[in-house]
Amino acid sequence: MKTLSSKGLTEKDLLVLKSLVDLMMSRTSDTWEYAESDNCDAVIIDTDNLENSTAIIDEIEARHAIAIEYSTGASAGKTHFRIKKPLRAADLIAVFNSVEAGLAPRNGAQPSAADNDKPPAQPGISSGRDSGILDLLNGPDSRFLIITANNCECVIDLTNDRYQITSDVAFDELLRSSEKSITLSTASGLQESFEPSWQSAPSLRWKLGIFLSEGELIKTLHSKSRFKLLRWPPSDIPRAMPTAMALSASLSRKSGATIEEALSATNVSTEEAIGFVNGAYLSGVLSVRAFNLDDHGQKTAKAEHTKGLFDKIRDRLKRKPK
Amino acid sequence: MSRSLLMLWFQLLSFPNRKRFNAMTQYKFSEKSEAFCQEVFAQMLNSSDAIYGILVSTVDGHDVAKNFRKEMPASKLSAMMSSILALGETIAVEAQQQQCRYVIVENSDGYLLTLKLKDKLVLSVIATTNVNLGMLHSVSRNAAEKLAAHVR
Amino acid sequence: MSEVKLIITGPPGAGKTTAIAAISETPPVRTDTRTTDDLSSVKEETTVAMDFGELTLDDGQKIFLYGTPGQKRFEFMWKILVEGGLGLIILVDCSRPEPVNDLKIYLENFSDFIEKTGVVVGITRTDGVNAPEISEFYECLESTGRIFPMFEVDIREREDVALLIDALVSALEFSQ
Repeated sequence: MKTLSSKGLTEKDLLVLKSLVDLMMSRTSDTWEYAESDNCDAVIIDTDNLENSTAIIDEIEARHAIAIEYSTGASAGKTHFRIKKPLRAADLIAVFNSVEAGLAPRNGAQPSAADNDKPPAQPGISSGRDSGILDLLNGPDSRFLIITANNCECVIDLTNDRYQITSDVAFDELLRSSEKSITLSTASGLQESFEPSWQSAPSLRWKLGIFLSEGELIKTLHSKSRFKLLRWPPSDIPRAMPTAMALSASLSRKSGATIEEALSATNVSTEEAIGFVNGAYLSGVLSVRAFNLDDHGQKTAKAEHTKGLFDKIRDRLKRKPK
Repeated sequence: MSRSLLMLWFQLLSFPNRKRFNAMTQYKFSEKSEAFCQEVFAQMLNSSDAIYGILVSTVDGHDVAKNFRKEMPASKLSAMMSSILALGETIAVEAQQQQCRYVIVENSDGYLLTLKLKDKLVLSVIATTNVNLGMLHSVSRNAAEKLAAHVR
Repeated sequence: MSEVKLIITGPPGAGKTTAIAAISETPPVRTDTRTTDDLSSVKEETTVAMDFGELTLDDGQKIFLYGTPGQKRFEFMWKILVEGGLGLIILVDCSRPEPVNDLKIYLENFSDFIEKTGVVVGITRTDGVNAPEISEFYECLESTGRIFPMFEVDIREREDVALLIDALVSALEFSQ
């Protein structure tokens, strides 16, 4: 079953929408229900009635729900899905079916039941683009990630934040390797056989985000959203990635920051920023907002004033004592 | 550094009360030592009307014995005296001078003089400007020597 | 050139003097005296006024590091030492009985300074059986209403002290 809510609809439109949703149950491939909740699968937004519709759409898409634009005239192009006013059953059914199709790749990407019985060393779901793997990690099921590079294999137990590796290669080095292949698998009973050699890694999810993103934001996240870091990463993250300090600070502002703002405030590359955001998200320490609450112009001016000093302090910290 | 010392004195007037850590086992005189100490304090007070406060505290800032002719916060003064004496000793080393004997704070209406008393104790004397500074030195040094020889 | 001060605070025995000694390029100035109370079972000496160390930047500018006394009775020194400070480092020792409460106390007592500047928290001696989870410290830190950096550190290591200072200056530069 899928749920639908709305924002900005007139009372009349809302009444019509609820009636249509009840009536057309049998004509969509999935069952739809109207619900007054912030966690619906799809939200219809009357962009004619809302001044801040772009921010609302951002927020909805940031939590990976589907935003459906409802407007008169030509589409504003703010969303992938749109219904032209007035509300008609045929339009609604067409959009619902499109939405279901749009949702399908995400659901279809989950490992099939057959994969559950495979041992981790056998291929499960492979991805040419690593952030595809990150998208799959972003789920509740117990899974193992197998990374192979340079005759070395690393099995990562995502549920327990631990890994085991078949040679002396450092974990970070393996994740950084450009010649690696990555496989995701779900296997029961694996923990027993590997128990003696597991190494715990509390910042494992951070590292997967940082090293496996390759510049692609996890699909659940929206590049225009405002991200706020709820906790700084453990110390091995800034040690492995010095720019993590600036990114952590930038994203822990009271109102958070967009990736664009974080990039303009720091000298960090886009790839690093995206990897960091993915890592924070996978580690469960990232909140996503769509609204811009602060006057950032004033803050930036203040930061500029002392920037030279901070850079000099950082340079000095890198230098060992004489 | 001198600015810090002056500020330290000004803080005496504005130090607010906040919650304290749990009480700890503190350095205490034996009854005999306490009695001897009070005797020495009385002699000091008798030697000059200008002296109106005498305090023995530990080097780490706990009060041990006192005789104040007016209301003053002994525990706070003890902590401050230990800081100022430790700073005096440290400043002496930085300035390549030996054995800090006294730290004196001279104010418009009085003096605070503090000096080490054995390894773990500090003697502080508080007086108005009616006292001759040389005499204050002498009275304090003599008292410190007597106390050092007897208290335990 | 203006003076730049960083202040290191935390409960007695948390490693403030050690941290300054680990990173200062000159022998640290100390005001240690014999301990005469319960603390003497843990350490023989304690700071009663301040510790002081320095770093020189490439252009000759000095960064002064001030360590405060840990005990509450030396609160007057805290106020003196934070005057004109750039930011605060709080060290919390997990081998003490109530380390989370220690953090709470120092956040409260330095709240005015933290509000105006920023803070980084270094959690030390986390290997003991009674050490709280890092999340408990985070919950305490979140009570400030702001997100501040916090790291588990071995304060004897120069690199770990550098990490705390790096996080503090990053927070001051990019989080404000």
